[in-house]
Amino acid sequence: MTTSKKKNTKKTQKKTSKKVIKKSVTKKKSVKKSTKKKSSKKSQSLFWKWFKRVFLFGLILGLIVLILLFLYTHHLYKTEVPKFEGRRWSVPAEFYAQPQELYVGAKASASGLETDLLDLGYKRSSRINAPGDFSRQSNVIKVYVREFQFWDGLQASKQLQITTRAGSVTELKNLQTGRNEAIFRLDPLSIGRLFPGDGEERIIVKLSEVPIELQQGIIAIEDRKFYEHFGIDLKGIVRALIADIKAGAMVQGASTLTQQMVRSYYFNNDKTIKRKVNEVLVTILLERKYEKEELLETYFNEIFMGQSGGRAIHGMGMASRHYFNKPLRELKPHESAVLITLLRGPSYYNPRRYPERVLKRRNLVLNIMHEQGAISEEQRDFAQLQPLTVSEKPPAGISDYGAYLDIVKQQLKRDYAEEDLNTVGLKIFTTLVPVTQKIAEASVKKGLEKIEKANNLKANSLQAAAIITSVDGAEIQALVGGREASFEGFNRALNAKRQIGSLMKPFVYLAAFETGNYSINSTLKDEPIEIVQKGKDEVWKPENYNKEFSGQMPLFSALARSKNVPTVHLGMEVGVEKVMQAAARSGLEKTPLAYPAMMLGSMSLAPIEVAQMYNTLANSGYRTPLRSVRAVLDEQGQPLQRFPLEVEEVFDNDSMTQLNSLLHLVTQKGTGRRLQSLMPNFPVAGKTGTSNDYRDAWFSGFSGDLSTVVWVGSDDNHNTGLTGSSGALPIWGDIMKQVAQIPFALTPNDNLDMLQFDFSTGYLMKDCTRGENDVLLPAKLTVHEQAEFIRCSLGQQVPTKDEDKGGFFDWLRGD
Amino acid sequence: MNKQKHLLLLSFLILFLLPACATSWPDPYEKPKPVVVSAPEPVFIPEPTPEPPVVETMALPDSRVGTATPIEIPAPTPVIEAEPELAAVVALRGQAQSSLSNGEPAMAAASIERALRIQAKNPILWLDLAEIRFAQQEFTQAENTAKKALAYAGNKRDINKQAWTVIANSRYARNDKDGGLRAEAEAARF
Repeated sequence: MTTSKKKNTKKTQKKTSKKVIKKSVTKKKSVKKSTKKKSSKKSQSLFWKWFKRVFLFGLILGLIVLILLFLYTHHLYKTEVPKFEGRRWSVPAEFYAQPQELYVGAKASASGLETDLLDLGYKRSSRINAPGDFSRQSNVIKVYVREFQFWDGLQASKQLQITTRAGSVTELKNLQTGRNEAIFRLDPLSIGRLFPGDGEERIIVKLSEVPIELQQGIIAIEDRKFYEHFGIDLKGIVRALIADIKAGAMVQGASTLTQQMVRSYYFNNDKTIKRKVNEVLVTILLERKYEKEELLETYFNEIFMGQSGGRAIHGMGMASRHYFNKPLRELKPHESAVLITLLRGPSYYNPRRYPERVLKRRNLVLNIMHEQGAISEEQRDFAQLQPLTVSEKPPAGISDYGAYLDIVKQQLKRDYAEEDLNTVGLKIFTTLVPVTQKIAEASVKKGLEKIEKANNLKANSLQAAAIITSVDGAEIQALVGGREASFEGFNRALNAKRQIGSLMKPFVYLAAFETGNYSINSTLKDEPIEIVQKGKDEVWKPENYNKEFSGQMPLFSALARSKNVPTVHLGMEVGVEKVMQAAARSGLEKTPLAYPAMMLGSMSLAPIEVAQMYNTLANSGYRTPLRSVRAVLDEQGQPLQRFPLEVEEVFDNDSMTQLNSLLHLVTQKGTGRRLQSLMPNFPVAGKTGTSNDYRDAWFSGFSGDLSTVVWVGSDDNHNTGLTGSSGALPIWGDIMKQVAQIPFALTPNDNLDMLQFDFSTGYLMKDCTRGENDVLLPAKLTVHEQAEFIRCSLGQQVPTKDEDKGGFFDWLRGD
Repeated sequence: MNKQKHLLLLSFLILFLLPACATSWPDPYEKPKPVVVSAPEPVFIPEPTPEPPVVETMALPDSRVGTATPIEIPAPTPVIEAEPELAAVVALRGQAQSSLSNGEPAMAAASIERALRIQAKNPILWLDLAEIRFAQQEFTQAENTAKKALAYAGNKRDINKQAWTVIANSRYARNDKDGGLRAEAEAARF
């Protein structure tokens, strides 16, 4: 018994620390010298004493470690795991452009549609088998349109045949039913995402949207035992260790998908013990908390897939967009294999930079996918024959439409909490028209270069802004914040407050018409005037552009020729306050102070404010607040808030008809008549503006469908020598001749009559045929004005006359 | 001085080219003396008809005409014309109608707005939208939108009548009885 006990104790002793063993051995030696019984008893009690101490110490230490580990794990569970939970739902807001509407009569060409489809990531193919395919044979396009959740409902996927002729759609046929479709829209272009500020881009996908080959392929390559292990693959680690030892280097990783996901989340690749411990613990915690499918879905959305400029590409959804410019669900097996290849190092296997390296690895991946049963032999053979099919360059990121998105964000901020915009996966439908935006950007860039050259200005010394809105809907279709659209910086369209000059004049005339005391051919004074302004010592003596006075002139030519002095006389008669109120009613937030000089536009406004004012004029006096957002959907596709079309009549129809006919006259015979050669036979209306010392050049005007404002100047506000006519009008004309489709026209008005006037004298003409110097304008005449007119003998013209009065040659010189 | 020279030359040319008409032309140097006719009736020119851009009335007597350059005459200010009926617009109006009867006026408004993006100046669509706004009990917007329908209605009697009716009802709904009566009287005119 005792010997066995002894043996046992020896064994136990061995298990304890070396120090203890040594001590017990010395004790044994001394014990041998004394009697066996005594010594054994003594040694036993001594041993037990030590043993108990050590055991207790170990127990307490172990307990403390366990408690600490538990606390730490619990801490991780409380802090890190919820991050993943949050991450699964933290989807940035996505912004879309206006969708392209297709219907018989819609303006569209086959080549234009082809470009649109390619921009949307549709793929040309001989047969349209799946959503995202299209084919074109001369003027006929067949397209398998993708399903899309719009703000007013889900539009199912459809196979369509679109026939175009002479620039418009002539037939729209559903290939599945053989019937004609009345109206259909393409899925809208995604123009950017708003991130939670960490510079990460992602498109969240559901597991069901991930192609099955990609799912099985990733498990086959990265983590074969994914469905069996508890988060850590112990066998795998051993296997990898053996492989590493054999090779004498790190050749095989044994990280499970969950581990990779956790690592990708921490993102930094430092190899500290703490990070490794955290990784293992969090992995095990996540595995306990979530189902394998949930983890796999998170993996697909979390994994790091590359870098693009300052943005990290996370998740397979974003990677599919970034590398192939199409939705994940449309990926073919050979493309899935490229994404799997990328997992082994997105920069080493960057397919745009190292296509050969990627192709080689991709084919290897395809082999393994086949071996593991993810794809069939035929699939593998076919896939290995395919080229890389990576898109030439990544699709638009947020910076490409940065200037436009500034106004969108501004308008959203009025209606949403910023954190909602950042965290919840909103879908925001903007009113941007990508084609119009492209045209406007190009016109601004090209136009400024031309203007600099033509006026001997230093290259790149000028800046510009432009805003294009639809007339009746008041939707902002394009917004240019500077000459380099891709450069994110100061957005002049929204933030550059500049003097508007003569753009203010129409409101003087509008206020005059509203009084009912003036008609289109009233006579205005054009003689020196001195005005003492409140609070200012200096007497204001406005002058005409040519510094001459003609005595008097008809109202319509005073506005058409942008005469300062007659405008000031008119404004003083009407009342400066009324003029400012009219300007404010067109859509200014505040009524400008009623200083007389304000009538000639000494106030500073941003182009976006001018856009609102002139949109109201374009709308014949109905003000509709400009909007850049049509609808917002939450992540479940439910509409959060609609921004309905609102209108308010702020100017009466008679006043507006007269004013707009004058703004039309500006472009025919006034300061904007250059448009006659830029846009021949396409009526438009508008006004030039030039601020003091040629600091700012403006042109603001409209066709029947679009209202556009262009500002040109320099950032340091110096004299450019440009007028509205020479600096801004050419760009305006270049934009409008490409995008405007409906010519300017007056709204019908029974209270006014179209009358013929002599342009220089303003005399009403009777029985005269049309001549070069007369104009037809809608008018409501006072009794006095009805009395005076020139009568022609039947079939005759009134000759050009009375040019001494100064008009004709003055206005040739412009604003 | 220079101007005068130009004018002199120009008027000589005109006088030379048009000897037959010379008698009826006023002297270009004098300030024009308006012919005062004691006519109480306004002298109105009827609806403008587009004319070719070249002056065709100058029946010139001899071959020297060849040197005359054509003069551009500004076209009369165009007036908005009625828009043609489009199948797409008909379909969208149908959608709006069914949304409205399903008690989804917001959806109905979305369909009409979509149609308005195709035909922005179609008064029928503005009238539809006005009626939807009324159904949404947005009475101010209903009136404003109906006015927009009026702006594009021209002399279409039925649209004028219906738009004024919407305006009248919107005013009554806002307890503006006088305004409502006035609008009703307007509606009765059509």
